[in-house]
Amino acid sequence: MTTESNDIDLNKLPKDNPFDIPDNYFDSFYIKLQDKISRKESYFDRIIYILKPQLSYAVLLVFFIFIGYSSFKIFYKENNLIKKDYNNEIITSEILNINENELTDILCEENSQIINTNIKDEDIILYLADNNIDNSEIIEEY
Amino acid sequence: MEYSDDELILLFQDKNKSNYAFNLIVLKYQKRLYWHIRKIVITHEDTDDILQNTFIKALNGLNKFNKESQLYTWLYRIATNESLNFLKQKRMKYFLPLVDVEKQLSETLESDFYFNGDELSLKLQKAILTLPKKQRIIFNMRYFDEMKYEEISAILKITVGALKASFHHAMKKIEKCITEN
Repeated sequence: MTTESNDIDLNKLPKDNPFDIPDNYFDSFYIKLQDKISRKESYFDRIIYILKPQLSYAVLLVFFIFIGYSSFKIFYKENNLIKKDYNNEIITSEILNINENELTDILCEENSQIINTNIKDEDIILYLADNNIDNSEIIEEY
Repeated sequence: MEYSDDELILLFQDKNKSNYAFNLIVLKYQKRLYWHIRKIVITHEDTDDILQNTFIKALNGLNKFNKESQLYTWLYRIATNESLNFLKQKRMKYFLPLVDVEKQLSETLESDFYFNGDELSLKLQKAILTLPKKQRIIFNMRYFDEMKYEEISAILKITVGALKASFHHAMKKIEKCITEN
């Protein structure tokens, strides 16, 4: 096996199989394998069978949460719209109750502070003109 | 009657004969794959587990097998990967650095009931265990299984040149290891 210089001749090293196996191992291997595959499949089926009701409940719960959330969003939106309409009604009715003469007096007062209502001055003048209110002093002011 | 790989795949694709085809594949390749795995993980019990897992993986993947490689190349590759994953898991399970896993396997060799080699065989196997994992696999496939470099290249997806270099280095290391011991 070794040469004179004690170097190993690798080509002369054992190539035969030093490992052994139980008797008839390969004869019965595929049967054992089929058993394992069947057990895996039935295990998987059992898991699905057990989890199915829970999964169904989970899906139902998610569905109801979704319905509830969607309904809330729609209701909230509608409520906001109703509020806007109501606010508009109040503003319209209050405007009708305004006394034009009083309004003119206020506008002509010295040191009067005009609160910014986002109404343009031209619109006020036009309004007074449309309603035959004496607006000469107001025009002079602005 | 032995079927060719292409015939076995065709048979497997027939739903009524897929189980029969799978059993034929097992019978055809069980020995080759067993010994390939055994040389990597050493013990019979671990080899048995890995071999079963290999075939189960093959069963799950056979429907998608695209014939880019040969069937036996594909099976060998699954077996190799399963063996390497086993060694990796073993290392992580016991928090062992790689060298200790190989040391453990080396110690198992001596006491293994299913090891019946002589003293020189034992020295050789221990020397092989000192090689890095992939180099060990390359060495086993070339030295013991006498596979062609092209076949090994298809299985391990390593170039023929790299395989030749790796095998050459493996021989040198084993020579040194046996000489020293």
